[in-house]
Amino acid sequence: MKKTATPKLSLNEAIIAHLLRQSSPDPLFGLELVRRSSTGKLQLKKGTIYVTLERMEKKGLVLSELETSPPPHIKEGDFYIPRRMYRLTPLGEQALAGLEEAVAQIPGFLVGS
Amino acid sequence: MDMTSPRLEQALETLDRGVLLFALGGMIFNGIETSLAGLLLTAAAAILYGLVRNRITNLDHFKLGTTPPSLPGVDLARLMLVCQWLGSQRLFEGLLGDLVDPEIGRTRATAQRHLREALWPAIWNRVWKTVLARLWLDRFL
Repeated sequence: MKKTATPKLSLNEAIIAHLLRQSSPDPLFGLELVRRSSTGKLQLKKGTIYVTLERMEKKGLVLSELETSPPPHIKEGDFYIPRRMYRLTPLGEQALAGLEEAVAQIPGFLVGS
Repeated sequence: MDMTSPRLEQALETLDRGVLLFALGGMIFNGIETSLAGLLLTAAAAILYGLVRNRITNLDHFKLGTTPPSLPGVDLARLMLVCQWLGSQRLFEGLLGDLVDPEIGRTRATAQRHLREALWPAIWNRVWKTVLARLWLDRFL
């Protein structure tokens, strides 16, 4: 039987996958991901987040859907379009777990050799 | 013509690769000949091809479910055009969605600053990643 390879994550993809897993089961939109990453050392940028999310979606790592109701601060007549919310897929979780496993082996590899 | 067909996508990818490789070759040989005009014309032809190709492929993809009531300081048609050139509907939706945020969409100036700050890096990011992908260097993405 042919085994399907788990896609490898880039640094930005790993940060996104990590944040989406943290917020699970709640989905997050792009700007919220940028904001949440700003508290850590590795930060996402406004200019690259959507292109990265699009690529992750093509790879099957995330799923997206449009927001079903406006956020509470939106009033009648305010500018509003439904935002695209993202959540991690099982394949994305698998890819993140694979990366974490590989990273966890690095100290042992360095010390043990 | 169905622009989402995998066969068409593959054919366009091959075409992109061909154009990019010939453009790179043209730039190298024009560089050797120290022909600035040749360099610029080759680069301009490749860029023009890329922009028009993305615009054509994405003509029908940029549709919003609802028509936004008012956009503070945002030229929707121009934003759509830039995103079509970049070939990213998610970027278009995402940037418009960001304006829903009370901090960003509050005034014309904050909305315009946000779009400016996000669009330029997005353009460079998109160009750089497209070039890498077309040169079979996807592993660096």
